[in-house]
Amino acid sequence: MKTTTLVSVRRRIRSVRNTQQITKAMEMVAGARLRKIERKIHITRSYGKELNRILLNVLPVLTGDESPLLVSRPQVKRICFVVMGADRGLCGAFNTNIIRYAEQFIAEKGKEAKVVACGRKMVRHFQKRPFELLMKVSDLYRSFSLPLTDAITKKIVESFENGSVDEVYVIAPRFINVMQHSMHSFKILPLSLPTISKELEAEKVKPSKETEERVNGGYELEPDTATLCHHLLKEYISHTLFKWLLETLTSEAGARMVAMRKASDNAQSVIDTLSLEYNQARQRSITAELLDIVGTVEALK
Amino acid sequence: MKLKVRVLSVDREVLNTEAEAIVAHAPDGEFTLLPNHIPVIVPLKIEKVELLGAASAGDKNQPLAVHGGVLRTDGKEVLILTEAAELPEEIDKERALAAKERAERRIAQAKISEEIDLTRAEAALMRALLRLKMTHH
Repeated sequence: MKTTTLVSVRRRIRSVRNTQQITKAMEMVAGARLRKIERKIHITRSYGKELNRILLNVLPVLTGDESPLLVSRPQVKRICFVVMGADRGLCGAFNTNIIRYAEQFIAEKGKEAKVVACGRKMVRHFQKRPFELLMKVSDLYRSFSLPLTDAITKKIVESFENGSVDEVYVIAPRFINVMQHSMHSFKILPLSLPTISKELEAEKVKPSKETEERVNGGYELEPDTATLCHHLLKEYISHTLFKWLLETLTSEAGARMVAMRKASDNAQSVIDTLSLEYNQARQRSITAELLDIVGTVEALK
Repeated sequence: MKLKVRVLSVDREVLNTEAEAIVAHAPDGEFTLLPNHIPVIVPLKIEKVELLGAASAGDKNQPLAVHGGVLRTDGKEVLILTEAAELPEEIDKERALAAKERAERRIAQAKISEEIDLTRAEAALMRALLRLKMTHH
């Protein structure tokens, strides 16, 4: 016979229920965050569209040597990786997946690696590794802004220009839907004009009506083509990082929602099992008591 | 003819109006944009941008704090694309003052410790100074 006493089962049910309340609350917080970020994505879209249009105005007149950011190095010795992840855990295998993917990617490149870690979990992981950390960004959800991505851009552009790194890659999760995200990596420095125009094409950027008539070359570029190009490319990098941070934050919120929902469901099934056990134990004790009474009555006859 | 002016920051459309002219700051100095200016694309400094005779301000001048970015015009329309822009009445003077002091402290500390990011602190200081300048208007 099971030795479960009524009190201990009741206690366990209560503790599981408490946990369930926490996981449910976390699920809701993640859901609210997800919606907030989705709204943000929507708002930032018009900025991105206009920036792309301006790029489209400038791209055709560029030959590819206006900015050092467009020139690839014949020999790549050191590579910087911008790894984007979460600040906190409790979002399933989200961080583990990113770290595994990033480590594999870095190993595949097989060059001296430097890292820009975005997200506290990434900072913690890469601190333990022998890579040089160029920049640590934590508390992404709150510090997330264009000035932040500008600062990251400044850092990687600086490192690229002074030759301490020869290439820069971004590693980040791509949001598919709440349940799914995939890992994505791409080269952000040196930039190549064909890649940018391909991307603009993919996003279906069309020049505004007035500029269409002008056939792109009509704009005077101030103060001169090279300076403006450099400036625009930096804005482009910053905006790209911004977009990918948004992807990261959305994926994270989605992953956390799913993980927390699973935990809540799990807690519910534990509660169900325990309740059954509790009821059985209670019934058993009642039956035993009844038997006692009936037995006594029989004996008294 | 008036210029159509649209100021777009990452998180919102700050202004969508018409103006007689625009005074802005490029890296190599101040310039004025009038209607029928030749089409131009120019980067902006973290500086004040003034819309002269802006419809949004009742045909008076409308100053704006623009935190860097790019300006594009085709002679009829002006688009200012910036990471952040504020109207003077939106600026919290106390906060800007606190930000300025914090940035100055960080810059002073940056000379001692490497933990603090100097470029970020300097950008913060420039933004704070611009905000304060706008509130003195």
